[in-house]
Amino acid sequence: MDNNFRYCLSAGYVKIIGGICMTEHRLDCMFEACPIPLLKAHKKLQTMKIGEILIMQTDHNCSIINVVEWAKKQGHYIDYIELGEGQWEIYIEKAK
Amino acid sequence: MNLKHRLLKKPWPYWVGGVVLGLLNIFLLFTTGSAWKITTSFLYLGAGLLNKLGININDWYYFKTYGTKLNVGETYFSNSLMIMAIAMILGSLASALFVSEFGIKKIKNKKQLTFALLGGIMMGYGTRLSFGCNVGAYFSAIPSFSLHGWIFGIFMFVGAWIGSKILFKYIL
Amino acid sequence: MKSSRIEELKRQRQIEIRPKKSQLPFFFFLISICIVFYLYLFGSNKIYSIIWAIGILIGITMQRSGFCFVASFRDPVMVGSTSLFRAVIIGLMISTVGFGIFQYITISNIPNYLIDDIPGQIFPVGINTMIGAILFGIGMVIAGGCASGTLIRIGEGHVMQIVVLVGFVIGTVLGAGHFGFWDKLIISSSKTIYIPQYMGFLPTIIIQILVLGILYILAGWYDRKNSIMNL
Repeated sequence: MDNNFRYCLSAGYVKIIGGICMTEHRLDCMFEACPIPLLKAHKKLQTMKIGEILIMQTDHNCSIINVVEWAKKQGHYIDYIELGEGQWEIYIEKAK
Repeated sequence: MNLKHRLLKKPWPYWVGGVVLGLLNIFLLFTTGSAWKITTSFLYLGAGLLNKLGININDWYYFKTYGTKLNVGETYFSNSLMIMAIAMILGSLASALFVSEFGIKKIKNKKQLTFALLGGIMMGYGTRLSFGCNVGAYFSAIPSFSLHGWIFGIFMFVGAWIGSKILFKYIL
Repeated sequence: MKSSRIEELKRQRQIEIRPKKSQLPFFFFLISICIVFYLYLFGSNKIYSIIWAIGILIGITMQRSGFCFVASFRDPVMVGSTSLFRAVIIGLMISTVGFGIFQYITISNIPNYLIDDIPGQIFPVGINTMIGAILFGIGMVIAGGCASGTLIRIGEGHVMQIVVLVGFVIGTVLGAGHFGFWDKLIISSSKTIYIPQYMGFLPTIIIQILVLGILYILAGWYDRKNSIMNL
């Protein structure tokens, strides 16, 4: 637990939820055209470690479809919620 | 998740879209004699606006040759293609409103705006050379058994590849 | 695929955000206007009313399924996913059969038919098509949408696509203006190749369905190949 906690702190944004330490990365893709959210997510996930979570916001409804499909194909955990009218927040946990 | 929720709230699978669009195109051809096409309506919009500014483009070489001339009783603002274009926009708006996903999505920065404008101009210019866009020279042309549909599809792929390289370099 | 940590994040976020305002009233208002306009068109020009109805259905379908021709070409290369490409192929296969039947019915009544008598999109093919298609391909990727996609996204509220539309208007007018130049250069020497004239109707339909079917299978294989290995 100690080592894990130290790693979490040094990795940046840290959140303690239910006693488990999660490292989160954020990506704001609002107002960005169709392929950009997927490409940015792809690039960001390559720099992340397994178990880290990427949170991205997007307002393109094609992005929720193609990012979700791509992440599933790569074997990551993914889900999203709708923040408001035509705005979504996607959660991807790197699993591979 | 019951069927109603799946049908109405979640996005439809891609293949459903493909099937429905194919069927609608057939229906359009059967009932109106013309297949689905879009971009000439943009030309008409421009022509109509230019006419309002006093510039008459009816005598251009384009309209005297292959160019899609207006039928009897049509104007640049009131014609079958304009109706299709407006109907598509309203259909999409209605669908977005139904699932409460409509929202004004602003422009992010000047770079994106430049690329949008440039992309639009390139696309518009290209459609005049190939007699159609992704719909008129591809989705409707291939089922019409015209070779230009296949050639357009292949080279649109080439262009998309080049465009992706540009995208990677300048935007990402 | 679900993960407990994502579930936790979702749960926390759900508490923070306010419930979505339903836009259903606007939907009903818009649909009423559309129906009224349909009835008006039905009275004056039945063909216009059909186009109106089909256009609205196309808009709904494309928005709900997230259909995007740009993605159907871009995704296989960028992310190895061909689901949209295969959906387009399905659409092409279905319309091939329907168009073929309609063209055959129409032409059998015209013994010495001209290309102009054939219903559908049939135009000259040549270097002009290649140049136009490449321009279109580059443009659609950098603008983030093609002709149909631009209209659909305007309906969803994207202001950017209105800029793309302005570009379209400028581009088509410029293209029409320069048409004389291109016609003399390459278009007038381009032939219109209507495939059934060379192969007959039934062979053309069958071969086209076969070719599209093979493309579909190949695309499916390519997609499966890219989902196991990491890109």
